[in-house]
Amino acid sequence: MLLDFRYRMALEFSDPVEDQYFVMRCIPRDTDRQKLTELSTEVEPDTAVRSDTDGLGNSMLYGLIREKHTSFLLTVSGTVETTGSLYEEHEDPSAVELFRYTAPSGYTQPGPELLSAYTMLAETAPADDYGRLIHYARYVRDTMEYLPGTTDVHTTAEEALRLRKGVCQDYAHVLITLLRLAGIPARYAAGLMRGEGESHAWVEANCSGYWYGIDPTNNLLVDDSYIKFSHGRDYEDCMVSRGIFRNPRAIQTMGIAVSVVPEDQEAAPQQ
Amino acid sequence: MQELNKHVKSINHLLERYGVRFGIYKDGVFKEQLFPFDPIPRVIGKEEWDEIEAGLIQRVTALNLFLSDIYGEKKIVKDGVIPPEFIFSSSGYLTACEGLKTPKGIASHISGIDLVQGKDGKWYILEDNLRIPSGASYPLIARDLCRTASPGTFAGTHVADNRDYPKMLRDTMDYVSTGGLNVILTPGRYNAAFFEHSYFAEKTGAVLVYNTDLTVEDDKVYLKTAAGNQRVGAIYRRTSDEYLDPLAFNPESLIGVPGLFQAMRKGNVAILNAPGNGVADDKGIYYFVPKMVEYYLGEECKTNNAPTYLPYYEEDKKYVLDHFDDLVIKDVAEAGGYGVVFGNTLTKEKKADFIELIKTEPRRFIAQEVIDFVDLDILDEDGVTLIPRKADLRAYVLTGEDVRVWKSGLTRFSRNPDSFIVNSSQGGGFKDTWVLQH
Repeated sequence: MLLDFRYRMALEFSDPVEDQYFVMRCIPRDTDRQKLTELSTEVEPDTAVRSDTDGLGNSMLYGLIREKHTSFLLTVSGTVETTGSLYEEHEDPSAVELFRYTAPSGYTQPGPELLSAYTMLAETAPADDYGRLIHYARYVRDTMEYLPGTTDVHTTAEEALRLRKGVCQDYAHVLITLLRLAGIPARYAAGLMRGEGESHAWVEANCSGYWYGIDPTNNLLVDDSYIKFSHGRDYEDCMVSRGIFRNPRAIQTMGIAVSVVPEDQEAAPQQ
Repeated sequence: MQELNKHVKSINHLLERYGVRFGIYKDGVFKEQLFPFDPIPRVIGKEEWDEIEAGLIQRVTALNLFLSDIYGEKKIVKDGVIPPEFIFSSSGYLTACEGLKTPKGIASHISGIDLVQGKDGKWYILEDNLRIPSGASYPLIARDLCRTASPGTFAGTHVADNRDYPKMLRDTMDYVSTGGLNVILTPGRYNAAFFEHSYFAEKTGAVLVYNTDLTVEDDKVYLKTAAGNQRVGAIYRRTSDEYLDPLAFNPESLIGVPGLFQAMRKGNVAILNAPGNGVADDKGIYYFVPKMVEYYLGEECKTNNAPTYLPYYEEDKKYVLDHFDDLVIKDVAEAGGYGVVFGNTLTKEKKADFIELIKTEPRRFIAQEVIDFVDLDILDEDGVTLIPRKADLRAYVLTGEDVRVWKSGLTRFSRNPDSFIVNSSQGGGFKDTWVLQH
């Protein structure tokens, strides 16, 4: 399917800032399941935007605005061709790289809450990895309540499960931790899904060598209506936006608007 | 040497006046303490030193090859020499450093290798410190003061002059520099090694800078000066990896330089030591260093590790549980003498808890035989009585065009007569280390 996407980030500063550095991971990466066919980037105030790939192969856009300014607008838009395949990249199950995704990472250190959930699930879990992936994802979906504002970007999987609340980032971290406890390589994926709203996060798990995408927030298999920006061990590797600016008095307000529509449908109205 | 003993008070007084201090955080409070100097040097004969030196050169060469390999192809893991879990679950392994190519392929420019001499006369490696180990300034400045207090002492001996350290450091920085100034980046006055930073800046001609003095533009690092921006080619830093660059590591760091890491990835600046080195001086990886030497260099390892067991391996776990009281257990995540437990000092309950912890998190611990290391005499406060104390030696190995071992080193001793822990953060003192030329 051909998908037109747009990711827009608007920052407003209460007081003029200078030396604003930004690093964005909001460019769809090429995989077996998606190819980027068109891309355009706009930044205001105007500045040179550099691009590179990070250690995990995710695309980065970055730049610097020296002069004083009170707002910042970044828009990335383009077209991605997605396939209906439910998995990508066959990797040898013994590949060294898979161990990156079985070791606990900062957000996915299991504590008592996750360990007891894991033990409880073990009683009913199917024997095969794919079966367990579906089983754990359903548990996460049934246990957690989607409630923005209850967690923040620092919330770990353990904390989120204790609260039984959170957003897509938390759902993903909880599922990743369960999968890793079961010895199944699991990685965090950040990107967009069809429709409008904010950026999204889900999970990819390696079962018998294939990376399957599953969206625990919506209890859906990831299909051709998803666009992936990046993957990594957890949120930290996939932060869509990172940045810093000078002026300790300035308070930043951020607005994110995204849209993903099939090319043959009418584009969503500008926001 | 007798002569020096008479001057111990005046030397310690001078050290105090020069501000030779060691900062330490304890229970969240910053304290500065003097690092007491003992005038009786550790003396190492030429033949013995030559052997140590050859071993250290080999070891550090292998460690640098390991770092390039781990952030590149990972051949040593693919070939089954090191299990992948030990790499990816190491807190020192940084995903951001994947694919990183350091200038001249050097990641550990300054390596501090801690050794002890066993009662069997053999030297053992206690640990490798590859994240800008501090402390070289102490023997350097103490030697200077001794020379001032007692000029005759060094005239008639064959003690290798140790005043070449700043030159070695400068050569290393110049060799890896991508062109431009050498700077020493200090987190500031409330850092354990602040004294050392200012001392080395003065002695090497590098510019002592704070993070806010540096700026990154077009993937290049500049020093902001009244005369405009000046390009920086090499940065000696103390700031830990996590806080080095808020755009690449901890986003909340206020002591980092935004964009620095990307400038390094682009090959536009050398950072001494490179970020990500923690994967090689991890206590769990220590076990594999002799295997690295064999793997990368095809040579037998010349340095001795203390006999070490990894509970990760079933066989080793069984040994550790059977011989718990004879072993020292170390938590691989802790440094500076913290997280070190002697099996025989635990109460019955604590021991049971600890054994349970080893069983659930085997990768987290290593166990070592307690090496009965030689005591060195220190001079008691009365200035006459000699008392024996446990001591280690930190040797400094600098990697630039060649790998060179500084013919001196920091000998640290424990204040407590029963303690085997000699880290300066645990309240010990230090001695000069004399390496003989003949």
